[in-house]
Amino acid sequence: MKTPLISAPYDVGQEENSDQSGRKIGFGECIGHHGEILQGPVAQFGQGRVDALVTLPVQEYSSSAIYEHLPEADELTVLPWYCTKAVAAVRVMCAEFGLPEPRGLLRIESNIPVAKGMGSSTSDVVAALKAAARAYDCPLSNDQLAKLAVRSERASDATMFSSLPALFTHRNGELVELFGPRLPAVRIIGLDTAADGIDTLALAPIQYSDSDLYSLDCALSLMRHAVKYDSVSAMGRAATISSTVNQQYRPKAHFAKLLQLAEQFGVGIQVAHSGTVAGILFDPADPAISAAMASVRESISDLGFEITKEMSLGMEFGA
Amino acid sequence: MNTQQVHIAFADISHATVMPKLVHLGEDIYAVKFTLMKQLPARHIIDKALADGRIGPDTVVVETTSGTFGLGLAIECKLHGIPLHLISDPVIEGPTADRIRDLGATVDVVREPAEIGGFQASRLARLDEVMRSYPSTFCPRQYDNPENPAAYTPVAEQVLEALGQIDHIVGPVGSGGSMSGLTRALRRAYPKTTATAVDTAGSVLFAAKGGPRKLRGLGNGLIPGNLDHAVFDTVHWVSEAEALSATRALHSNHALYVGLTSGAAHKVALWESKQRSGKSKGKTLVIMPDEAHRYEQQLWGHHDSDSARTEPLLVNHPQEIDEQWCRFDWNRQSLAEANND
Repeated sequence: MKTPLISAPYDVGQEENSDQSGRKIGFGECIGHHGEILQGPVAQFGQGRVDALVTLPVQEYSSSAIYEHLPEADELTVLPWYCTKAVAAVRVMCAEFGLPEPRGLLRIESNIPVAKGMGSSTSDVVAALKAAARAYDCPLSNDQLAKLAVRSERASDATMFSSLPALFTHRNGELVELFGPRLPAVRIIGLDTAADGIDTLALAPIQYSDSDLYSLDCALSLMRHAVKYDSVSAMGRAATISSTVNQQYRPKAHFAKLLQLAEQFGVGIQVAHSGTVAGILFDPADPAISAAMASVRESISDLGFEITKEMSLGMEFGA
Repeated sequence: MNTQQVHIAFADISHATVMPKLVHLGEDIYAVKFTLMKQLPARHIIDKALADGRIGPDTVVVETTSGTFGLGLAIECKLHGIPLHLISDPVIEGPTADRIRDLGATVDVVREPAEIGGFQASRLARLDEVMRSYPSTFCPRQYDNPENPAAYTPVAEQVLEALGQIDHIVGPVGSGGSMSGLTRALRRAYPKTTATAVDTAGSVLFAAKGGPRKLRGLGNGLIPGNLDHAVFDTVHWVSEAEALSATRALHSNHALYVGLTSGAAHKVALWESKQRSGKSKGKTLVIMPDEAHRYEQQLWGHHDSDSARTEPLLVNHPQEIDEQWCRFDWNRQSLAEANND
């Protein structure tokens, strides 16, 4: 198990989460994502078009929470103070599941940058919910977690649900289609195309053209192929198609140049479709990968971008 | 490699057979094998017209066709309970016409070819008369209706899902719908995919001289609006005899029992593949529009000729082709550009 970002004064094992004083404690975490591989209104058999996305979950970004129920406290305090949505979500959970009114301390730590389209807010909320659920010994299904998270935010990210390679609806993270057990292994050079963040909820909805929609359908077909046949190049191509469609409506600086680098040295480019980060994707099995990544690092630096994080996907994630 | 099989019962034969099967024929060649390819645009066009209200309770569907599109329409109209009136020429007589009539459609055979434009032109004239004789008609207009090529987008998705990157596509061209539509759809994912048209002497589709065509089902006496010339990198012209040999070989080597245009396309695909080295072969799709039923007599009666070409003759211009296997580097030009050379 991954070492928590913050250490607890108490042992956070589930069996030992309360003592005679009535205090309860629980730990939760949620991994973040680096934007999406694919996003848009894709065709689903028998359902017309569904506004959906395939997230790119990365372990290098996550939120952790420790929830302490303290009967002597007047209310629930959260650190840092601005994680108000997490508090709201925990309140809703307690009300819904007949739990005691929350009081005590909720501590959240996260290395997910805010307002970059990486789901920082959702990850905080989900980590907090999991921690509180553990504290109160009230197991929640992914579905229940998702519904609680949605109620505290207008739109939610799919990583709350699980890190399985799947298509989720955009608005409430419902599972639409599960592609398979794992995404193909991939290495990613991440960068931020804008120093200032954006308000991801303030963007007007996109009016996709027929051409865009057909392109997204192709990307979805390639995504199915990528997971079924473990093809990182098909996944890269799917990501490139989706980010190219997205670029018409949510332009990222220097996208054309980044696309060119991706096609020359890697297997594709992905973006946070409602954010600012972008990732150049590489095939870990490519014998020339070191040289390729070095070339891309240099070119990114020449463009005036900073590399934010280098990430890799190659393990099977549990839900 | 079969990772997961999903078994369902289909609502009708159209749902069951409209999409092709993808069959690996060794090395880099994949057959896109249809039961009856024209069912796909027929179904798509009829479905859309029903949804849009252009086919109403009293509408008669009217169309000019030399065979397979008419059969596709007959199946769709039968399953939807829509009256169908087809205009064709004597080549349709036989099992195809029998099937169409058995499905309740009227088969109106024009006996005399026009001086200019041959049977195609006289059929179009008759089509005009027939459309004026019914109060409400709908004409699919397969040669110009953009819903014909658009119908092939699901096949592109099927192929991408099953095979990922496609490098080359080879297929017979007649109405221009399948190859134009499929290639454009595939190039959304992989813009470098090459496209090779398989045509036959006597067809004017690719700037060659018009004349009688022995190999039916591909080529055309008129230029259909749906043929997007700028899509094609290469054109091959294959004779009936060469198509017969190739179709026999496809059966004896792979147990694929398909029509003559499918054999012709496979022959071309095999040759093109041979020109590429092992590493750069990529994946080639071969479009196979129908099965062998209506060609059976010719197929089993055929004997290979010793004088057959083993390589296509490269011509400098389509006007120079002869009666045997030829090829030309079309290079995605327009028809006007080809005619001006």
